[in-house]
Amino acid sequence: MSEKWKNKVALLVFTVPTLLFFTIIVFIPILQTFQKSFFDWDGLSTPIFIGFDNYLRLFDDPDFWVSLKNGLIFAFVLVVYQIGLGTILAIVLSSKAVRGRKWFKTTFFIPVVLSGVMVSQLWIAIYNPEGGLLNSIFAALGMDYQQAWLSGEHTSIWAIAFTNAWQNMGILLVLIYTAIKSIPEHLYEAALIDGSSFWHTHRKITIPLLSETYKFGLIIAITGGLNAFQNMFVMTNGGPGNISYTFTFMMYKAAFRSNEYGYGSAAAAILVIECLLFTILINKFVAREKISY
Amino acid sequence: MKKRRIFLPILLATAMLALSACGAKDDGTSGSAGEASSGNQQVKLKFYAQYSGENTAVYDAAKEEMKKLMPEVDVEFEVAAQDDEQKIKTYAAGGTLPDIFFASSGLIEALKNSDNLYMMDKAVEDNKIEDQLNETSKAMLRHDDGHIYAVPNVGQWSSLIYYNKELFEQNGIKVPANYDEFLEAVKGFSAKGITPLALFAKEKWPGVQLYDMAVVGSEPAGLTKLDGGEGTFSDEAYRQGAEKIAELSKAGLLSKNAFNTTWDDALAQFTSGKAAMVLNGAWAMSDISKAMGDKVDILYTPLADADKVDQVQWNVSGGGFNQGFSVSKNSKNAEVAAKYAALFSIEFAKQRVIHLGDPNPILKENPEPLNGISSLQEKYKQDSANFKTMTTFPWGLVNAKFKTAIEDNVQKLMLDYDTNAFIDTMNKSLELARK
Amino acid sequence: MIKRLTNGTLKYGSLLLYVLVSLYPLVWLLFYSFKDNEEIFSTNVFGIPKEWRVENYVNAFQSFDLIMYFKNSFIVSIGTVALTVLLGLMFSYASARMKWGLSNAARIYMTAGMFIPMQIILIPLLMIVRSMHLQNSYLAVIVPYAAFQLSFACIIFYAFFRSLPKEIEESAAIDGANVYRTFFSIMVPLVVPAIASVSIFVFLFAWNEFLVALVMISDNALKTLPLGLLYFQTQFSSDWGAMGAVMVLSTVPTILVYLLFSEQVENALTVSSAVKG
Repeated sequence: MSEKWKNKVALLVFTVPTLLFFTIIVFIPILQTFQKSFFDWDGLSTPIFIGFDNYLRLFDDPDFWVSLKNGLIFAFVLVVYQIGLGTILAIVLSSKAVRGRKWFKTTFFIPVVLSGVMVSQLWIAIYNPEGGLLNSIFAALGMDYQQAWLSGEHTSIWAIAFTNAWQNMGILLVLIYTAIKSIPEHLYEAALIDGSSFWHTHRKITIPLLSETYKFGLIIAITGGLNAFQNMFVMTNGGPGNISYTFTFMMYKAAFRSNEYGYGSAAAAILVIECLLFTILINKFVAREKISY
Repeated sequence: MKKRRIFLPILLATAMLALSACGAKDDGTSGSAGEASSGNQQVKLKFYAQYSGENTAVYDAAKEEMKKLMPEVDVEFEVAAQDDEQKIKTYAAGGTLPDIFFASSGLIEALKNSDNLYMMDKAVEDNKIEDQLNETSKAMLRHDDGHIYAVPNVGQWSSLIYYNKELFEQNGIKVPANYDEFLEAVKGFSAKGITPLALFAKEKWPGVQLYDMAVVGSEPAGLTKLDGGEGTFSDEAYRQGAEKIAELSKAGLLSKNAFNTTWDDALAQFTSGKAAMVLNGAWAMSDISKAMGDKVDILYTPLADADKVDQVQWNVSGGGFNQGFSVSKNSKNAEVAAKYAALFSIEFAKQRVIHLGDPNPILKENPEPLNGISSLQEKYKQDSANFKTMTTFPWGLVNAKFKTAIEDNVQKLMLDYDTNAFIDTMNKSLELARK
Repeated sequence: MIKRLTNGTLKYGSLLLYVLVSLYPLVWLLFYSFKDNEEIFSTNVFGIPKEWRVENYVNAFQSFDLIMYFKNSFIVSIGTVALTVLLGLMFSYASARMKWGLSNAARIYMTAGMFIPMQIILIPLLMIVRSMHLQNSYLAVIVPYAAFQLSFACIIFYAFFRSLPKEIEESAAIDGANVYRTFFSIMVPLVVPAIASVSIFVFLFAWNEFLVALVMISDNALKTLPLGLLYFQTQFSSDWGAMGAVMVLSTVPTILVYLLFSEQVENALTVSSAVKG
């Protein structure tokens, strides 16, 4: 067997099982969702083809625009909190000068370990406008800033997104930390000799070298925000009214509560396209060049 | 380096172990729907039901009784989740419905239309089920098309407002008999920092129920009329109902946290004296009386106009839903399952009375409750004989699109008090739902 | 000197503040598990239980088969991790280290699992699982879990494989190792930090997942822990204290798994940065 032939076989061996498995379990259901979005279907009876009607109805539905906006806000909060704070904490904890850093890192990861349902319940109590922790803190600080956090039209989605951001920050922290620790020490030696400051060194050396990590970090945070589901499901049920709706929630409601599976599929299809768009953009503009140390 | 060498093999070994364990489990246990029955062979049935909490004892006892009636059948209960019927709908879509399952009116409608339900007319007739039911329950047996798709398991509960007698006395507030007095009471409690009504609006239905209660004083059919395809939200009764809800909400009817309040939460607020009233169906009576004793009493129609109260006193909100145990048409043992479900519903009703002191059973003749019944339950039992009309609980609404829209928009109304927006949106949704 | 001191106070002060924010949920959960519904919801939401209700734990142990749920959760979680890591590693190696035309497209294709939560496409998922005759086995949940987690695993493995120097394979080729041996005995050990990280996340996901398990598993003997909690919920009320007790018990293994794997990350990192240096 020639070398080239052998490499071709190896390529197939490495990729085909995964691609096949993934296609059957993930891609086909997504494809079916797209297909169903062109039908009037309650999920049980015979579907009726209606072309783009579901999409036209979608653009006319106030729930759709609320969902679009909420998805983007959710993604924004995850990016800022998880990647922003994750980077700062990872840099601090990777410095040998910080005592007890292993202990800190473990502690910061604790929220990730807990079940999302449980954590959501805790935050419902924290956000409770009557005797909840958050309002009590504002009151104790002498600020008259009492809010019904989860029921307010302008606070609800932020409050829910923050819960998720806070809970899963540890994931990005660990990933960024791992990437920082993989950077060879000798790269910092020159900077040390120059005597540049701690944060300056990291801005100049660490962060540029993390671009590959940021690429997947952004994909995780943005797609995670756009298709967030469990938090609304547990915390507000999409409400009150439609104020904490997202595309995933629209799909859920349509499929299981109002028996409009076809219509919900259209919302889900828009979600998939939105996520794909962001993924392509991130792949295009972040970490285009391969880094090697 | 050394540690790493150990780690990888361990990971791989556990992986192999796990995967082989999965494989091993794969054979043997398949085919849960049970083997086809013939003669006296044992039949195993899957029964998807509310098999949890206080109901566990009721189901277990009914199953024991059934062993005497149909010894050849063995049932396995599957615990139903509080998931908007997501699981059972997914089962239906995937063609894997359990043999017997609990179904609400909305679900019955959807499953009947897609030809998933086994017609139980014969099983009901053969086993003389109808003769054992009382008059109100007989009405629940048949669907609009005259056939039987589910055998009722509980009676027609009404929706109630429970109130804390002590709190009303201590604060010198009159127990409301009509809307104006109710509004006064809301203002009174609100001014004293007591939540007037603990509404568990984390779930979508209690808000809708309150709206139905506000409508029922002028339109006895409540929301069921709209659900059935008649009228619009611009009609006087529905407009007035919306205005009442908006006015009450504005006056501080609900706690700020109402939309994140669960029933357990609302109950805790009520029993601890933080809230003066609480809304729920009559089924909550045993829990509430247990916690409050004689401190608690009930109201039926506190939202009717003063001049109409006498005529509408027994037009109550709630009840009216056609639900119960259904059988999957695709079950391999549909006939046996139908017989079992029919007989089970009777045993279940008996055990509910014995174990829970159920005050409105479906049967003509009932056994004695194990622990007696409370004075409140006794009162309700007598009152319920006077009920003239009932509406429904939201899960008894047949049109799912209408149901979802009203659930979301009542919440909105309670937040922004915008009656006109509510009526406009709902009329639009109504149009879409009736298409 | 003063500046350094205030800097230090500020640094440790803010780190400790975040420790508080991160640890509190665990403490809260512990308190919760000793309370009754009235304390949990109304009278004492955040504080120490007024009365330590050990009966919640007794209830948890007596009323349902905790051991069985733990066993099922372990099998499902470990099976999911194994399948995800194996398939993810192979594909990522090919996409990061081999030259082929569709490499980029295939990589983006593989992220599709992150575009939609599996909970909302349950119906097609159930049909596929059924047509593969996986029902009534652990694979009914392991297969969908692993397939959807593959997206996450692949983007992380890809990034790690990509950061390894090219010379590694070249020298392996000179030594006469074929591509499979290079992969298993040289490349895979170099990405152990990534493997350990992915394993943690996938394990936690599978351990806590509820909706998919709810629909896929109907056999009582196969139910995982989150499903077991249903036992405490009725249509209109629940025993939250007992649920809290089960949650506390089910959190213990997840913390242990994290500690075990993060130790691996640390060790491997020290080694791999030495290789690169």
